[in-house]
Parts: sequence; C-alpha cells; structure tokens
Amino acid sequence: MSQDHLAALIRLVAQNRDREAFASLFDHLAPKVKAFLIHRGLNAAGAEDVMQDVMLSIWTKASLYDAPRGSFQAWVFTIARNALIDRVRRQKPDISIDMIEWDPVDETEGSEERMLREERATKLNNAMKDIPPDQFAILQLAFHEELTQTEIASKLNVPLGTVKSRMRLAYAHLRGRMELAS
Amino acid sequence: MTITHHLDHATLVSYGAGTLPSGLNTIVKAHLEFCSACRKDALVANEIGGSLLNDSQEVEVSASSKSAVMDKIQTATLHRFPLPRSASESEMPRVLQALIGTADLDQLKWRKSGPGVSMFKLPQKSGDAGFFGLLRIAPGQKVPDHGHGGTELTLILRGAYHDEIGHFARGDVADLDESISHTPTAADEGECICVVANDAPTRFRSWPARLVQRFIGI
Ligand SMILES: [Zn+2]
Repeated sequence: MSQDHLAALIRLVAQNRDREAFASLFDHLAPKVKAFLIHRGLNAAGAEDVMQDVMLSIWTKASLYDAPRGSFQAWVFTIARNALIDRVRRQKPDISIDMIEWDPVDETEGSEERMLREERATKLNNAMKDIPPDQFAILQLAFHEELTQTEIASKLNVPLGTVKSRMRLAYAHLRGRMELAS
Repeated sequence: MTITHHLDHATLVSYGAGTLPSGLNTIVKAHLEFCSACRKDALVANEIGGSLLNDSQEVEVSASSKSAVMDKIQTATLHRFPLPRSASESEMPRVLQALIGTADLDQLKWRKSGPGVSMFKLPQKSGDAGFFGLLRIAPGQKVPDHGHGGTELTLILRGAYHDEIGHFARGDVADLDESISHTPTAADEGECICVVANDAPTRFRSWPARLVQRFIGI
C-alpha cells in the first residue's frame, strides 16, 4: 500500500470516523506493528496485546496525525514505541507528544504539502535500501533490538565513537535523500 | 535565547529509537523545549523508525484481535487536539520541573561539593549508571580537566561557561563523547547552573564524581 493511500485512509478515519478505512489500516499495519513489538522483546501474546493498544490509539488519535509534521509511517512508529515504553517500563509515554506540544499546527497546510510529507517517506524508504550495511546494521540494533549506543559498541566490538559516527552518517544520508527535490 | 550548540544527530537517532538512558533522555527533552532547530532534526529520527517499521517482516495476527479492536473503537474516547504550549517562561525546563517539583533553581537544597561548586542530584531509572544532576559553579570557577567514559550531555540553564570547545550560554547543550576532554570555566559575570548527565560505564568515573574526588579526596 502506498504512503499516499495510507495517508488518505487515516484522514478518512480522522474526519469521518470511517470504520471501513480503519479496517483496511488494521489489515495493513497490525502484522507490521506486531513484528516490531516482537523485535523489541515482547513474546507473541504480549505483542498481540500491545498491538491492539497501538491500533486503538491510531483510532482515537487519528486527528493528531497532522500535528508532528511527519509521515504517517513515522507517526505509527512513535505510537508503537510509546505504547511499548508505557507497557514494558511502566513509564509515562511522552515522546510523540513533545513535538506537537511545542510546535503549533500550521492550519494553512494544503493538500500539496501533505502529499510532500508522504513523498519524503517514500524517498526515505528507497534510500534505506542503499545505505552501507554497517550503517543499516546500527539503525536496526537501535530501533529494532532497542540497544543503547554503548550496548551497540560492545556488541559489535567497536569504539563508541564509531557507533556515533555511523549513526551520524546514516542520518545525514537519509535526510539528504528525503529532502532531495523530485 | 540564541542557541549555538546543539544535539549530536547520533543522540537524536537514539532518542528517536527510545534507547537513551533516562538522564540523557531528560536532557534531550529539556533542550528540545528551548530549541526549534533540534525539534525539527528530531523528527528525522522518527521518520527513520517509521521506515524500519514499514519494512518489518509481518507476523500473523490472530483473527480475534481484529474483532476485539473493531469492538473497542465503538466506545473509545477520542483524543482532543492539545493546544500548543508557549515557550517556557521559567528558567527551568518543564521536564525538569516535573522531576524536581519546583521551577525555582534557588529553592533547591544544593550540596557543596568543592570550592565554588555545588551539586543537586536528580533521580534516574534504576540500572542506569552514571551521573545525573545539576551543577552550580561560582563566577570564574574552573572545573578540573576531565574526560568522559561514554556520552555526556550538559545543558546550560543559567549563566555561561567557556572551555576548549567554545562558549556555552543558556539553552546551549554540550554533547560530548569519550574522545573529548575539557576544562569548563564559569563566566566571570555570574554563576553558571547546568544540568549534566552521562552514561559512563563503571570503569570510568563520572566527572562530577571525580570533581568531588579531586576536591575532597574521597
Ligand atoms: Zn538545538
């Protein structure tokens, strides 16, 4: 399913509380969200459970999707990450909220700018396929295996500075490709 | 507030992944309250997470899960759009206020830890090693030369200091790793208060700890 299609579905949910659109989102997202939660250390039953919380949040928070100035897939990621932090560590979920708390939503954003956000996500997905393997590995260890920089350094047996510089390079490469004019 | 020293993009990547130790995580959030440039940069990390999630191999979901969620959405309370917050008027970032319970730096029970230096420790998650707390450095006071074991973040809340790297004033963050050793000196015009966190492995000593060691010879 394309990023544009996903974004159109979440707008139907936000504006019309469209259950059919939500059911399509569920079919597309639930297996990915569950996989992500298992990567981050939940067992199958726990992942099933938290996945339900995540999907429910997507329904109840649908109108917030426009706020963080990002793509739909990034928004889903922040909801999943925060649900996990909430459940596993018993901490207050807080990360996805901080952006919208500080930066007012631009009411004048037109459909063109919105599409641009999803276009950037598509470019990012393509760029992700050709970053150097050593950089990709570090992103996976951070985002999927939930390791700190120090833990990544000792797992790969490289200095902390190497982990940081690979993260910086990956960040710069991906951001550059995302913001490249089409 | 003009901010000249920002967060390292590697720090923002780990922040986005949700893997920073609690003290470092709090300082990142505090700097983000002050800095719209880093808020924008932080969004890129969420995009990276979104892309990796999108690329996840799919795991089969039980059929009952879907009907359970479709049931729950009938009665679920919808979230209202929060009003954007105005920038903090207080010297202390909101995330620290919430942790400490006051917005007034002068009300804290500062503990003297050496000539011209006081300290106020902050709570961190159990299991997180390293130092997390506030330092109050008298005008012109030099902090002994120190290196770092892991990552160290210092956010200036009041006054300014300078070191080999540059001049750091309110809102600036020093994001340093183990390769850097420095000797911060508080500006002569007034005291400098900063919040410091590091994730030094135990074989290293955090610099505030070594500071105490140096001054009072533990
Ligand atoms: Zn900044």
